[in-house]
Amino acid sequence: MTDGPLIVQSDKSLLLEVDHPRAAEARRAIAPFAELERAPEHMHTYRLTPLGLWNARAAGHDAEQVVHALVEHSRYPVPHALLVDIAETMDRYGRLTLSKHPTHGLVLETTDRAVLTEVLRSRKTAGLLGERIDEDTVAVHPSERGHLKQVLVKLGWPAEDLAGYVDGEKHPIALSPTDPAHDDRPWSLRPYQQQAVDGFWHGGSGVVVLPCGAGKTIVGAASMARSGTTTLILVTNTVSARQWRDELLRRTSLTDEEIGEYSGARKEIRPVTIATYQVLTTRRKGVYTHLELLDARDWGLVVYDEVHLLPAPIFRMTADLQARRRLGLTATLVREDGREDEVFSLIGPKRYDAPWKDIEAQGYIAPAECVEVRLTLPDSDRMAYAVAEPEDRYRLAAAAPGKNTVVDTLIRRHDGEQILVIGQYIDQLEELSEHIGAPLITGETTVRERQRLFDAFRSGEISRLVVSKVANFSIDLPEASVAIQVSGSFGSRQEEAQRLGRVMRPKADGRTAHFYAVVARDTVDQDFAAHRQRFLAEQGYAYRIVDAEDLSTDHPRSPVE
Amino acid sequence: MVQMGTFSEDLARRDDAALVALLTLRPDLLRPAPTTLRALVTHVTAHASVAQALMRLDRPQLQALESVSVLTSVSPGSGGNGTGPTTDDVTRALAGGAAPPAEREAVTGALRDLHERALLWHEGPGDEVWRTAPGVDEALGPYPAGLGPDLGGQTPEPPDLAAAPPGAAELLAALTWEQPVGRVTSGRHQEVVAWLVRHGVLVAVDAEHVVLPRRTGLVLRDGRTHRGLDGRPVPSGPEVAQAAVDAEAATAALDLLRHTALLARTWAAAPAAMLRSGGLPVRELRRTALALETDDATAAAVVELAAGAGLVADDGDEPASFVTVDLDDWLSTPPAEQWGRLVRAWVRSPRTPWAVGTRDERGAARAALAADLERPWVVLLRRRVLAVLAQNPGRTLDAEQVHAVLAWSSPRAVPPVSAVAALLAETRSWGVTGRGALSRAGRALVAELEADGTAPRGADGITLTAALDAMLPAPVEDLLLQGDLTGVVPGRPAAALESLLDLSSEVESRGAGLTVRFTPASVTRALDAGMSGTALRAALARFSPSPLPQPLEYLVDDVARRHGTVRVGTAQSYVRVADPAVAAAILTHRALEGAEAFLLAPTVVAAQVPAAVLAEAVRAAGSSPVLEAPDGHLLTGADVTAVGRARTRGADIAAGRRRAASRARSASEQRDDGSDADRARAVVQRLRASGADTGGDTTDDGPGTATTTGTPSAGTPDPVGALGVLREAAASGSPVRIEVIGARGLPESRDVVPVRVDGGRIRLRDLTRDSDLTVAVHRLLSATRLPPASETSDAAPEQGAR
Repeated sequence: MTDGPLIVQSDKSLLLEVDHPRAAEARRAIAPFAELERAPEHMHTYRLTPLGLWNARAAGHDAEQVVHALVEHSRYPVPHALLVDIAETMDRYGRLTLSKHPTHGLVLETTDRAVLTEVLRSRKTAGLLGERIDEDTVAVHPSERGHLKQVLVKLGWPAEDLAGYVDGEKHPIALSPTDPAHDDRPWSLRPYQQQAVDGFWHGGSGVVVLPCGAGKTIVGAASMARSGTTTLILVTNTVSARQWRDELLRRTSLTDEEIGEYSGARKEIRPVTIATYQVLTTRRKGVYTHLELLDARDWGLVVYDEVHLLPAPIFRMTADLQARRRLGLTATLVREDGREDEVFSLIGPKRYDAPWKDIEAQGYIAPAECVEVRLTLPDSDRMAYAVAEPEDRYRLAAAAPGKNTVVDTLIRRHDGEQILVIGQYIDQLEELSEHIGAPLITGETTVRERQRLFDAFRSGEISRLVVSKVANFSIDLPEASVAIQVSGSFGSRQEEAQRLGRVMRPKADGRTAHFYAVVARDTVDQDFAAHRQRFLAEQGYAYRIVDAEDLSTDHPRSPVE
Repeated sequence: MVQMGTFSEDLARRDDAALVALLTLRPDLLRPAPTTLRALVTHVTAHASVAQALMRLDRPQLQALESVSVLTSVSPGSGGNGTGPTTDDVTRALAGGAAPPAEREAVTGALRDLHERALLWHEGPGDEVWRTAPGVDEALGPYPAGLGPDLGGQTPEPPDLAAAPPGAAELLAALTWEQPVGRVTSGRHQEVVAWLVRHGVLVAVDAEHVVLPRRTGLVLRDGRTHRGLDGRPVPSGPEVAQAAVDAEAATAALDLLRHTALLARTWAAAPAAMLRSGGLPVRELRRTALALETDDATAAAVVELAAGAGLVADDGDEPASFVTVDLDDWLSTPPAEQWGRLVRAWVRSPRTPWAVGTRDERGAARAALAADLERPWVVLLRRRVLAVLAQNPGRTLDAEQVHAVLAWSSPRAVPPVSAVAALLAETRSWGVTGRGALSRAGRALVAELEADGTAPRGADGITLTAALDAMLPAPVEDLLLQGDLTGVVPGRPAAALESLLDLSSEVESRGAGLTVRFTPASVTRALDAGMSGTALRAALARFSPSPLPQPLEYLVDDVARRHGTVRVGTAQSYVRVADPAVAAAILTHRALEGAEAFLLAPTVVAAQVPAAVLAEAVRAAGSSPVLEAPDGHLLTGADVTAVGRARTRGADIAAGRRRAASRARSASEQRDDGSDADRARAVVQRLRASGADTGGDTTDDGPGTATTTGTPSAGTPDPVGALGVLREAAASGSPVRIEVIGARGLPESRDVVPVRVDGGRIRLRDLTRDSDLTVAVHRLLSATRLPPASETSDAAPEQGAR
């Protein structure tokens, strides 16, 4: 057996030894069909899933290539049963195809009648399919295209989507060669951004996963330029909408009149329209009042910002734009309810993914140090915690008064830097805001006030800001270099990662960003913290754990290379 | 007339080596061992023995035997006096006139082998003609080689079918080669059949059945008894590289060792209860399967294997349970030797673990380790399966192919495909085969088995373990620790590393490498086992090429800090005082010396004696204690006696283990029979020593010496010998004088020709009275061969009452 960098496990995971001389080659070989699951320092874990293998088939790879890639780079003999399994799984792809029939519209065809019968008989496909046209063909309701593909994946018989894309109404968009925000200096796409756009375009539809701060908006803009059609952009909130608008004005040839906002406040439908998920899914008397936005124009491209939010049932409505090219953008495709797969089925497979550390190594996101500060609760608090009801425990632990002192110490340590304090519970944040003398932004703050404070923070007018979880997503604070988290949504890994992302925009002087999580020892706070940190640890951002008592002797460090 | 040789003479003519060969090839003759040659003849011609012998023949041998039987029956002057076929005749009838030399060789070899087994014999030394031994024709059945019964008569001409109705040729063809008996059903064939019967081609047996007579059948077959010599089937599975085979087998072997170690540990900590009938309850099997992280079927197989190897055994306690024997000894054995021990026991084990869970005749589910899972044929079948695998190296064989080869090599005793499949599955699970072909260790095992007759068991053990060691991937001592609290071993962990990880982490992923995760629970487990925090960190650092990640160090320290802060212990009684000084005084007082007292808290002293005793001691120490109940209220004199009754009960697992160990030792020492060859040699010595006892002429009185008093004639051969004589006479149709106990209980003498000897009855044709009679074997006293018919003096006037 060769001395390869890959170790194949019996649970279909692949271990890639990062320091091996042939690691890069192996990574390129397995990337088309294996999902990157974890990327800590020494061994990256990839996983073989049916969905991944089917996506490889869709991209034109066959089982032989997959087997060859595995055998070629594996250090030990690959279990034969696994190779047989891979071949069998990949063989299931392509038995069903979705295509355009001249008279019947969207149809599901099969090369294997038994498969079609099985699919038709399943309860899950009820209501998605129309009449049986002949032995091998059945009509599909066009609006259920995405849902059907998702169901077929679950049944184990994925459909090859040959129905093609509607081109959409043409509308020329070009990337502007100069950056008005930086004295009209020329700029270009970073290599990984270009790869992301290419990957997406070749795949037709799909998801691009890039760490926070890596410039996903630019990837969106570049894709729009590539498409050159009318575009609908879906974002999480109005602030994001405004930010997208600003970015598009800056990076593309679009003018103010060409970009419209469709949110709670405004209802403009223009060639490029930015809408919020919220407004699209509002119902009045059971009717989706704003759904006609989807049909308002012949959209050529639909961009979903923070697409990891999509699987929440309320958002699946927007996935019905199946005939159009769809681009999903996110930094964290991990959900506590495990429904990441739904995103792939609804939007498309992952077309680009890069380990965070890789992009950090290229210098495009700031190096970050993550520290957990463990606070020992005083006896009275511990007693109160011990006798409290289970549902109150997290709040008691997370909102412990001792945390204020810790925040103080940390702020003093990073005097002169832009600091964000993030938390979950409003009263805790109000207290903190008063304690350290910094303005507070919550869900109640008006949009205008939010914008004002952000601008002030951006310009350096204020150097500390206390924010609640409204600030989790999509706010753009280039110069925040320190984030202190006092409480969060229980064990949400995604939230942790997003919050880290607040400080990962590259700094002008290349300094290290710091992320502190203040945790109460021996409580559920500590347990949740461990879970939350797992995602980042798996991305290579291992936490350093410091006792609050030792904080004065500890000092901030740069991550060890 | 020339004195015909007999079968016994042929046997007597054989030399010692030939007799030993006979007894080795037909080992059923050794039990019980014959003492005289006459007895040997009887046994050899007994139906049961002949049937057994036939079961051991392979297809070509069976074909040759059938051929000889058929050709003898149709040769001119048949009825015992006819000439039988020569080797050439048989070759022609079996393989055709133009058979290639290889086939001729095969036929010659088969005939010689059949002679060795005393299924065929020659009339005299140097004789070319083959004859079937007595009993063979009956054992072959009514339709040997698919030919009909011999109805005598001349050899017919080939039937002329020109005038026959259409369909006659096909019908005849079907009857010729498939089955000689046909059943007339629909009217479609009736006309044809009637025509054929009318023209003497077929013979009507009854209203519905017709049969194709043997001679006609032979003629239709152009004198061939078989279509051709059935060669050994060559399995045509796909080729597979030895490296791939060994890799799969190595994985399976490692899995087996891991499961066995887990089983041993699980049952060492918590012995498994036993059913009253001696098996393992389903509940315990499930628990074991959970501990092994596998399914019930695999767990059952592992349990059986471990029991067979003596690793787990019945502890002989009441109620009985299964315990692990010598856990430390097992764990300290190197992997290859562990595997060797398990597999050697497996190869000799008559147990059928695949039947666990199925229902028996009474509807009860079969339990693992129960007595009813033993099947004596399993051992032999397993060897045969391994032999087939060994003969086809480098090819993936499936159950059907192996079964085809086995069916060829013993067509009269075809093993069920399901058993073959189950045994092949076992070889796969234990790493004896990989990808359907024998692994290196498997081949070593087969070689060891084959040498078993000459070499003492275990002497060649080195080869087996060396083979397994060569198959296993080299152990790795690197542990890559990462900031997300996982660790990866990029290969098979070395023993020390494996035990460390076992102790202190949870396995996340297995395969060619090992991924583990450190959690507070897993670190606590290590600390519970007695490691300190620093020791654990040092142990991990030893294997880690890079320094320990800070989160892991912190985790270990944090858990160590909290470890041991909550403690549980036993005390039988306590003294509670308000003042720590008083407690200290009581503790150190002389009166409490025998009480094993210790300080539980500053104001509490605990002791291991009953409360009443402690109270006395405290009184002696100068305080005046009062007894209290658990809820705090004080006890008066009457309640005191009830307090503190000791009830220590616990299974004495150690004692049970000792019992189990001795039991396991005796169980794993298999019944050690000497090899068959040795026994055969001993028997032959005895036979020679008892004197040549052929021809059976020990009656000196001559014929017709029956007496009315009922005393048997002096020197008659024993009844067993008599049967032998009768069988021979039946085969050759020669006359015999027998003595039987008559209806009145008195012996009678008769001159008879035996027709058939079977099933405890002898059919005879009485020469004097010219009638047929049937005599029960137990009434037979003696039998003596008569000289050929012309010399017989009639004993009739000498019979009757005197």
